[in-house]
Amino acid sequence: MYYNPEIETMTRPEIEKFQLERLQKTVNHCMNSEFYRQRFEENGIKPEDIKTLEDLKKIPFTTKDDLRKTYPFGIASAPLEKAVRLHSSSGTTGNPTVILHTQKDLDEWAIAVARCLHMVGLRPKDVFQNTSGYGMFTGGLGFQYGAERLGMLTVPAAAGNSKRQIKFITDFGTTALHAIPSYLGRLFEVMKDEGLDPKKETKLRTLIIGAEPHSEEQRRRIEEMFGAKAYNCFGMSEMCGPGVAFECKEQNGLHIWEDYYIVEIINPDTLEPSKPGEVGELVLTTINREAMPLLRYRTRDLTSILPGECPCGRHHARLDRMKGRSDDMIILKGVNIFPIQVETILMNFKELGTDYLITMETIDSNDEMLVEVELSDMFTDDFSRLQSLTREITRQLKDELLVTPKLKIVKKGSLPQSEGKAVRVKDLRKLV
Amino acid sequence: MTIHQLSVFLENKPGALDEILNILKAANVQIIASTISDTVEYGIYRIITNEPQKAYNALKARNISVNLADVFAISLDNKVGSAADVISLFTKAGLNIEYLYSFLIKNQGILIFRTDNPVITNEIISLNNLTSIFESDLV
Repeated sequence: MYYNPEIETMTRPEIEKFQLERLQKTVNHCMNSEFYRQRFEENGIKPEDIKTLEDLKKIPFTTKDDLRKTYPFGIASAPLEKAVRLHSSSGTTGNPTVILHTQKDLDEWAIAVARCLHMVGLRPKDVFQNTSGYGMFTGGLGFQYGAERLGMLTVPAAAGNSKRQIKFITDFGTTALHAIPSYLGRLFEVMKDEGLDPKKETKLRTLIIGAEPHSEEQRRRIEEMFGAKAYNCFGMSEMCGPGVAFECKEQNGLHIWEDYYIVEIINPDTLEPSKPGEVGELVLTTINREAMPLLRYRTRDLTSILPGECPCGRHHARLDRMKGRSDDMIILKGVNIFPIQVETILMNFKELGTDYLITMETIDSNDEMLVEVELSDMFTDDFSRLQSLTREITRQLKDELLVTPKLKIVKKGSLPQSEGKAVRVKDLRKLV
Repeated sequence: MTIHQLSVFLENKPGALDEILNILKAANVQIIASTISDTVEYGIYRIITNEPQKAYNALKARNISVNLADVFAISLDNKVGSAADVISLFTKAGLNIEYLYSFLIKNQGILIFRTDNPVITNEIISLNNLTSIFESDLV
């Protein structure tokens, strides 16, 4: 029933005792990092000051900006020669964020993912197909190693090419599929076109969905399409990737592994702890990491901790569905996008004005990004040049964002002005 | 050999054309010929007027994205096949016509067009004694 029974069924006092030991060890270890040593000095804190879990609050927050400023390896607490892998965010809004892993980190990460997959009922006899992009994106290798660790036959199908995905599902007898929710809608459409009923003609019975905001209704709809259970998962590259929090079979909140992370929910404006059950920003401290532990990392994700006991017998806290972001980051097809990235590209084109509007919408159960820009200078009397301008902007945006937006050139003065608080992003995606 | 043509960027939605026409009306500019080429999202509205510079200034002043460019304008004999004969001359020289439209002025057919090579186009017009139209002819 449990993958790590002694860990998963720890009582609250046991979890807290365990966490304090690991926290103290982590804080001591962090003193090998130039960044944290300075932070502690500047704030007059010593590792010995952390005597209780409550003392964690004495430590300042770590932010994405800290990761960027210390790019690439500045926060590392272990010597570089101990690291065996790195993952990096795509963002070129400044420096990307890099996370280093030692072999032990990778092993622990794989165990966390295996524990999650086991929790939703997957076993070595299952065939697990992963439609995440591989490479720097942690959803690829993260699930791959976790699923292998659990002992499943694991198909690294990677992203895209729905016909090929469907061939793998039918030929290999895939029983479990990991995909972003919007892609499952697309996959279902292609199956329908091919006259394939996934309920009857595939062995799919477990779907892992995450990396993208979605509603309970969307989950139910996906379950209905495939005749399979769909479980929500949560992860982020700064916290390794997938495997941070996962639903159990109750499908009511995501258990966050408190032997890996200390969870805080704060008010993003006052930075004070949120009241129990109140929505706030998720702050995580890694207590099981060697290469690059992060203390009180502000994830920018908004959620709350669900009250009460979970019937599954695990006392690890349950996070509610992510409610959004405390910054302007957009998540599209599992890719993180900041409007400033779009803006930076658009500003390179002198034919365009300074105003723009990003609209996210669902078209044929596919999430799309529309970028509208104003043509400030009618530089030609010729269509082909307007079209090559459109193509060039689209190409540059694609290179930057890793998703292909639809670009629309509009009349000067028709978009919201940049004075004051302009609306730059409209999210019309259907969550139902 | 060339005359001025205004090219206005138009969004493909109701009222877009109306706005342009009313600006020209208010500026007291007369349209002699015009044509809209459209794609799904936007169009280019090409206009020949009696006072192109005045029209251009009026549109610019109203924040309209407009372009003022030179296009070829030649008059045709009023008989069957005259357009075919003229265009064949350009085709034989390997030129590509990027766009073309025509209208009548004083019962005389006029071809407005743009090619991918203005230098050769000019040579063909001269060598074949084609009749070019000037802005003064339009008034």
